[in-house]
Amino acid sequence: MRDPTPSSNRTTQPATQARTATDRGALVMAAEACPGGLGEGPRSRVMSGAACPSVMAGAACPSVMAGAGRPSTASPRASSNGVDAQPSPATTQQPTLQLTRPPRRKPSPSIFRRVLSFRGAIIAQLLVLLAALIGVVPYLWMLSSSLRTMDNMFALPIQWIPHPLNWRSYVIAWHAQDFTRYFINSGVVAVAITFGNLLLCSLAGYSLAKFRYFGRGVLFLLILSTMMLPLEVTMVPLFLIIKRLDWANSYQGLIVPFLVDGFGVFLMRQYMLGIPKDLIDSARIDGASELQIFWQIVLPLCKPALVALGVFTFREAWDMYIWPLIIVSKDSLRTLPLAISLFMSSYGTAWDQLMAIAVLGTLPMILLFFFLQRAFIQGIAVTGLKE
Amino acid sequence: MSSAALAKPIPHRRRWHLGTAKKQTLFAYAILLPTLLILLTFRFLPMIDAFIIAFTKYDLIHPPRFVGFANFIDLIHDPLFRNAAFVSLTYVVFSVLPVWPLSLALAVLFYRRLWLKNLMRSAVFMPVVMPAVVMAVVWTFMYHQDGVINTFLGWAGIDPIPWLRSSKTALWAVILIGIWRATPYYMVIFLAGLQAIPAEYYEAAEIDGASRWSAFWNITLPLLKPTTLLVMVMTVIVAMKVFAVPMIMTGGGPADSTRVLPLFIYQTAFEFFDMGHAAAMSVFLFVAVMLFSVAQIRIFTSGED
Repeated sequence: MRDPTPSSNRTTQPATQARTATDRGALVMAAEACPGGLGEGPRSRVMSGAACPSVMAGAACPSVMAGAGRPSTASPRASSNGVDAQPSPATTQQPTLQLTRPPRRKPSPSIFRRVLSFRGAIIAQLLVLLAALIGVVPYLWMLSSSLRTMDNMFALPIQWIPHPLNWRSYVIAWHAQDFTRYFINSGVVAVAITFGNLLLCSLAGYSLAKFRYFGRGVLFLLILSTMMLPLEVTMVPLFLIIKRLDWANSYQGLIVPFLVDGFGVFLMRQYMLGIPKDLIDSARIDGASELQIFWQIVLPLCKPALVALGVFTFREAWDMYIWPLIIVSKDSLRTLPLAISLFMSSYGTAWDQLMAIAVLGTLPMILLFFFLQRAFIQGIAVTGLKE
Repeated sequence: MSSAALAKPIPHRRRWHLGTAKKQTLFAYAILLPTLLILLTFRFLPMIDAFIIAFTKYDLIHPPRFVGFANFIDLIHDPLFRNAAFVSLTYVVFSVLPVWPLSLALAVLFYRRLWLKNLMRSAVFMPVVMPAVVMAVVWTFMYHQDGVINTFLGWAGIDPIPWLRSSKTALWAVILIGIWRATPYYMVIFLAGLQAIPAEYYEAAEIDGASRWSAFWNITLPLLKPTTLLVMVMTVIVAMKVFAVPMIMTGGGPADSTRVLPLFIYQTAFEFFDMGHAAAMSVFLFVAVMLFSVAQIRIFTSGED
């Protein structure tokens, strides 16, 4: 039975060496060269304690074999006959000289495996490259189109690097409508929603994680169940409520309904469950007020969760489209996504300007991604959080 | 952390604090209160309202009038609603099914040594970074008759496809964007799941001479089961809520072929001011979302006592 694990370049020569060793009756060698002894750890132990090699050869080999999980016809023979412990090296071709070989952590793959994994690595690399291209091409196309003149917009062959460069599309688009205002609006709304979530979610999460009180379980489930009430379901009545509050066309109408989120509370609670209760209790004994404990002890410990939640919330808030579409009719309150969609319906064929606005609207997200890449990805990963 | 500040005793407060379980409970309620108020006002109240409005005729001008189950009965017979439900169902099925294997495969690919791994991962992740509205605008341009996608197809000898102009292809164009957007998102979640699998399992499998393929089937897949379940549920919920892309790219057309349910609700409510029917449709959507959300919440809380 051919073992796939041992290194191929070491196979042939040591095998012959082992055979000659057996011929000389060197039992240590036989024990050493026993095919089961190919694993790393157990064999070196055998070596060091090899006071009676023949016994070792019989006893150690099968156990090592079993450890390696390889059934072998060789080992019974080895155990029954200590002297002839080197079982037909020609068929197994595995034996190696352990004395000269430094102990290794991992068995190196056979040539067959290596070729296979080399081919696998290339295929994997190509697939990943393809996926990367698919992910990036729309960005490249957006950027290059924003810099192309309208005359060259659909020119063939494709002009990835436009000639001539048309920077003016950015200026024209920016001034075609009040995009400075829309940027500020989007920024204000997204920042307010983000900080609101960071504060309220961590407060609620702290309450649910570290206090015991009547109704806690029910309240937790209640908060969690808001995850099944997405805006797409509640938009009609929510609009009516906002209208009754006279919050249509206002910042508070854009911000307040999203200041806290069931999933955010869940996330913070899960994170805070890991904070030792002793830490909080000892702060209490030291005379810290509950708010001090939260602010100075609990919150700093939650920094990773807060950063992830913050980036995730900011991304969602910056992305928000359906809600501004419903409650904003005044030009001065348009957020960027709303403005971009309206720009598209009125300047639908001015692709250079549209792409320029698209680039500018994506820029904050790209900056966020490149500066807080870990937190950005973590913010996504935690949405798949489970116990 | 200002342990020095905390260590400083505050005499009159100290007495007040020790053994004040009641005060702690009060604090716990107090810090939960803002969250509860906001969620009750802006999540639960609207849902209750939706159930009430669904039984009325309401156009925002005249006061609502109770009509019983009329709205629901209308909907069942309304070809437009049936169409929207069917379009949504098609969107959900076909935008979700490819995402599972694709995102898992990408995660597994990234779980090995790769050339320029971090750069590649960032590139693959880029669709998640793009805002939904920008995505709709850029892809509309890419789907243009003379656009870049048809140019690519031309290289492969395929005739230009009238992507968004034809009722036969528009929904597939929208679905393609959904897949483009969702795959890297769930790849990240699968990667997090993969990282939770102890490396010893793979080492043991390798020593046993198991192939990568059998390691995948016998170790990775079974141990990823909770993650996979969650991804399945999440993808379906997200797909049921799709709105921005069809709204901006097609407005539901051509010939209603991309009018998904959320879009139809929006148009019924805010373009035709028929709040009653819109609310009744919301109830349908709610039930659909709820079925999957309950599964999601159960996965989230599966480890609770």
